[in-house]
Amino acid sequence: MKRAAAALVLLLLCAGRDARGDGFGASAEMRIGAATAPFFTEPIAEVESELTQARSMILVAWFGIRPRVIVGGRWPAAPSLVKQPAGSYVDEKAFASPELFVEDPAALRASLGDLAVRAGVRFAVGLPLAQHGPSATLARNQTLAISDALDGWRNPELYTPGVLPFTLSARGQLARPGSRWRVDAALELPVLVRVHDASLPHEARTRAVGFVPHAEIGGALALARWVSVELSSHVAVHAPAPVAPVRDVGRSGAAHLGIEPRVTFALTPRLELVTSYTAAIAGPLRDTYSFAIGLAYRRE
Amino acid sequence: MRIAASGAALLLATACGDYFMVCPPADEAALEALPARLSQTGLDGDGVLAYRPSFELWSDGATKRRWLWLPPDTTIDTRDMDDWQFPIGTRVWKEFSRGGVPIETRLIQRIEGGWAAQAYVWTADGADAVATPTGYVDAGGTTHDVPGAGECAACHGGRGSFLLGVSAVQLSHAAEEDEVDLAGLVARGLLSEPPDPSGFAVPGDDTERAALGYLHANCGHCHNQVRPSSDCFDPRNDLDFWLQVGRLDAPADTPTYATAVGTVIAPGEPGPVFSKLIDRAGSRTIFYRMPPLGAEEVDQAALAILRRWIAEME
Repeated sequence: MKRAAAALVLLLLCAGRDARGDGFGASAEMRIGAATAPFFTEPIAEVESELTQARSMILVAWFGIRPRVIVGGRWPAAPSLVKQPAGSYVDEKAFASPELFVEDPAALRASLGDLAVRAGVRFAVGLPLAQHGPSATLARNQTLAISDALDGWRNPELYTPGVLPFTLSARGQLARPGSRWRVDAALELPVLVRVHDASLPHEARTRAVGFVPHAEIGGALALARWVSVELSSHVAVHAPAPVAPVRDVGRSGAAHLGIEPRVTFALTPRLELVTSYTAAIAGPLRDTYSFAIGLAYRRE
Repeated sequence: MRIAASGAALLLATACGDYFMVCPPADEAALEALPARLSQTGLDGDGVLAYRPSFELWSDGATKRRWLWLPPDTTIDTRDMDDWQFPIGTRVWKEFSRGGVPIETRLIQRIEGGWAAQAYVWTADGADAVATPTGYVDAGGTTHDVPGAGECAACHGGRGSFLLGVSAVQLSHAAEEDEVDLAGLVARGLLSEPPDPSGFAVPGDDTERAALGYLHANCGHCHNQVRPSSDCFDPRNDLDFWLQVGRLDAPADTPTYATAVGTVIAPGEPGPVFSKLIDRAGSRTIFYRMPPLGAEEVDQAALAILRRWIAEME
């Protein structure tokens, strides 16, 4: 199954070299920090990864197949260390669920006075390949939950094992042409359909369908042609969570609120280096923070 | 400052892929050898011997009881009196209680090729305990954390014998009526090379014996120079707190004095500034505390003994 998925993605990538349309691009991001999040079993009601032990990685590749139609994929990994009850750590890296998407980056172009509005929409389907188990220790389940928390629950379609995710999302920008600032907003609506129990114990309260929408809004300012700064805030809501917590450890609540300042460096006209810091402000993921660094290449 | 230094060290260690607190996950195949419930493990069976070590591991004040069972017609290989080797099938149990209520009972069993270990968490009605290889955070409504199955080797794997409390030094005391001690094991013919039944006394006055014993029980399983090869909680230094039967003539003969006094212990200076052992034993700061596992609170009584011991050193 994994090989078939990898082959399909490679095929798409190779086909994209000669495709007409909106070019192609790729990006890689690694996030590292500390995460604490509610977990969904009786014995381990909270997962924790201290200092630099929480990590997530996402690779993205896309290419245009037609004007205004982009296809691509995301490949995530959860290489976090998981704190165990007595204080040791387990290094049980887990592959998360890859995702294929189709996107129209310019579904909407409009003007509001002297402001330009642009919005794109994306539809994605994930492959339920996230590693989980082993059932005795749930080490990989814990690793995935930590990486999911590190991302502020903004990518549950990638980090939730045992579900087939369908995600509809939209991303928009508001800016005055020629100015240095812009406002960004995004809305993601992942629907997570359970396909297997992901080695979870019998007392785990899995749901047939989980829904974890998240929204993000922020502003960006170009300080110079080669550097811009951004500040955004995001909220993610378990409505409902794909697996409900079994034991209350004081991290109840369905909504997570986070903040993310970001600095982007244009290394070349096509290559960007992005650095960011993300911190939980309120909700069950408090005590979670991370630093991220990424490279993004785009040719249009 | 200390946390920042610890964090910086951790970051560097992580970047270099050299992080000593990372242990392998539990061996699922080994866990399959263990029953799902404590009542199925044979704890209530014939031949189970209660025992108590002379010096106990600090577990945030939990009350503990221990039992040993050897398969019939087997003996413990005691050719190395400091590192007993146990026959396949050997089982030991250790029960942890808070306020008189059992929270968990740990089982270690000798299997082909090594050991299998996990904890059994008691049900609310106290009828039985259920295998919990994931461990359990804040079990039984207390602050007691039950270790995950993969964490057992973090401490027990520091000695080839694996059973830290079943040893010549630890059983060299007069046991209670319903318990077995070294003399009892000798009398039952359970040791292949039986020592003198009077056992091996830890040298020194009361303070010295208490300090040496505490360090043996709480530190020696990691800090010793014959630990099996493993990256998991290998301190990678020269400290040795494991008491050896051949080095008990006087306190100064022990590996503790030979390796710790003058390095992490400044004689006559019981404060944390000069005696790093006091600093770390009195800390619960992440990545700095000693011992690093299994306790959330400082053992204040033991710390007082260690301070007095160091203060009285010349």
